[in-house]
Amino acid sequence: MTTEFLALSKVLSVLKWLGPCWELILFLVGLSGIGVIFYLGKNPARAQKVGRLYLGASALTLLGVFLTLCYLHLSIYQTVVLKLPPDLAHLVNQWLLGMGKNYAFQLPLYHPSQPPRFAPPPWLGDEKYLFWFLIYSLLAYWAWPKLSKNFFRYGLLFFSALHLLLLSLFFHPLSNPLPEFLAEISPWWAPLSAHQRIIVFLKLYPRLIFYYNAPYMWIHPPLLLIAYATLELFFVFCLGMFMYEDLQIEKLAYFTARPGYLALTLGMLVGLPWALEAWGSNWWWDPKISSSLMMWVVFSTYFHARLYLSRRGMWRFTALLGILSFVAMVFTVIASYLFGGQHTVH
Amino acid sequence: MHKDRYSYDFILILLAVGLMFLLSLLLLGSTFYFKLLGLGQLAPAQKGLYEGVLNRLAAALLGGILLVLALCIPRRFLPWKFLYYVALALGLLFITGWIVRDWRLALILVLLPTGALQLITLILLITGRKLHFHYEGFGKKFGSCFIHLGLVLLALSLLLIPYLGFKSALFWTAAFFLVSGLLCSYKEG
Repeated sequence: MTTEFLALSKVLSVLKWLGPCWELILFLVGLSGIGVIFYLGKNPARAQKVGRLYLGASALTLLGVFLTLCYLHLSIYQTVVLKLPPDLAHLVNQWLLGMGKNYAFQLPLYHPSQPPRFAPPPWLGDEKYLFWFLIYSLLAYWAWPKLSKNFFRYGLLFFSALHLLLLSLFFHPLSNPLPEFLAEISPWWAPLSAHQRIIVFLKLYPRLIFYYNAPYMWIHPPLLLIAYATLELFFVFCLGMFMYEDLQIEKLAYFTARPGYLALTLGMLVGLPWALEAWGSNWWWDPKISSSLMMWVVFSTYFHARLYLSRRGMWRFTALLGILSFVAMVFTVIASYLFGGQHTVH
Repeated sequence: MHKDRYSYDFILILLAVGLMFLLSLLLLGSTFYFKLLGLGQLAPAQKGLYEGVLNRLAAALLGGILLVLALCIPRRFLPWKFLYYVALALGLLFITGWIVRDWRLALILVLLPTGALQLITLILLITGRKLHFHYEGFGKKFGSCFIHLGLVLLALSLLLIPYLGFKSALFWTAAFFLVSGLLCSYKEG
C-alpha cells in the first residue's frame, strides 16, 4: 500500500509544478487570442490563416493539458486499489451479502484476485470544463474553413480565448487536481486497524461502484459536454442568422445543431434511469434537472420552428430560439453553482 | 386548398412551439422557486405538496402538447374533418382521467391512443402508403415517426415507473426509437 501511495504522490508532486506551468501557457494563449481578434479587426484579409493557426494552437494546448490529466487518471487506476487482507475480505463479503438482503441493490462481492480499483473518468469536477473546451476547440478548428464572414470568425475566436482564460484563472484542473476525490480516498492510505480499514472500505466501495466507476459516468457527462460545445458554435451561427438572411449560415447552424441535439438527448436519456435510481422521487423538480429539461425543450422548439423558415418572421424567430437554447445552456451550467439540489457544485 | 393545409400545419407547429415554450418557462420558474423556498430544507410533506402542484401544471401542459400531437399525427393519413373528432375524443379522455383519478391517469389515457396512432403512421409509411408530411425524403419521415413514438413511449415509461421500475424495457425501447429517429432524420440533411 505504501508503494502505491508513494507512486501516486510522485505523480501529484510532478503536477504541482507542471500544473501552474500549463496554466501559464493557457493564460498566455488565451490572452493572445484577444490580441488575434484585434489584429484581425485591422487586417481582415489575413483572418483565414491567422485565425486557424490560433485555433490549432489553442486546441493543441488543451489537448496537452487533457493528456496530462489522463496520465493522472491512469496513475490513479494503477495505484488506488482497495486491497484487503484475506481475513478482512471474508468479513466484508459477509457484510455485503447481508446488505444485499435488506436493499434493492447488491454490491458486487470482493474478489481477492481482482481487488476493486478506482477508474474515475477525466471529467470530474473542474476537469469537465477542460473536456468541454477541448471539444469546442476541435469543432471550431473544423468549422473555420467553412466560414465566409469575419463576424463568425471573431465569435469563434472569442469563445476560444475566453475558454483558455477561464481555465487558467478560475478552474484549476491541473494545479489543484481532483480535490474532492483525493480527500475522499486519503483515509485509505493512513495506518489503520483492521476494524477501521473495513469501515473505510465500506465507505469507499459504494462510491467506487455507483459513482467513480459507474458506466453512466463514462457516458452521461461527456455527451452533455459535447452538446454544450456544439451549442456554443450553434449560438455564433444563430447570432449570424439573426443579423443576415443567408441560407449558408442557416445550414451551418442546423448542421451544428444536429449533433448537439443528438448528444444532449442521448446524454439525458442515459443519465435519467441512474438519477431516478440514485435519488428516487427527490429527483423530480431538482433545479439542475429542471434547467436541463428546459434547455432540451427550448432546443426542440428550434427544430420545430425551423420547418417553416420561409414564412414571414420565422427566420428571426428560429434564430432567436437557437440563441435562447444557448442562454438556457449557460443557465443550466450556472444552476449547478447557484441553486441547491442533487447536482450542486460546492 | 394546398395553401390552407399548410397554414393549418403552420398553426399546429406554432401551437406546439408555444406550449413547449410555456413548459420551459414552468421549468425555469421551478428552478427559481426551489431556491426561493429553500426546498432542500423543507419537510418531506411540504416538499411533496410543492412537487404535486408542479406535477399538475406540467401534466396540463404535456396534455396540451399531446393534443397538438394528436392533431398532427393522424393528419398524415386521415381526412381533415376527422382530426377534430380525434382531438376532441382525446381531450375528453384526458379530462375524464383527471376527474376520475389524477393527472397521471389522464396522461396515460391520452398517451396510449397517441402512441397507437403513431404506430399506425409508422406501419403505413413502411408499407409504402402515401402520407402527408411537410417534408420530403423517406429517412426524414421515418425519423419523425420514430422520434414522436419514442417520446410517447418515454413519457409512458416515466409515468409507469411505480409498476415497471427505473430501467424498464419500455424506457430503453423509447430511447432506441428517439436516438435512431434522430439519426434517420439527420441522414438526409
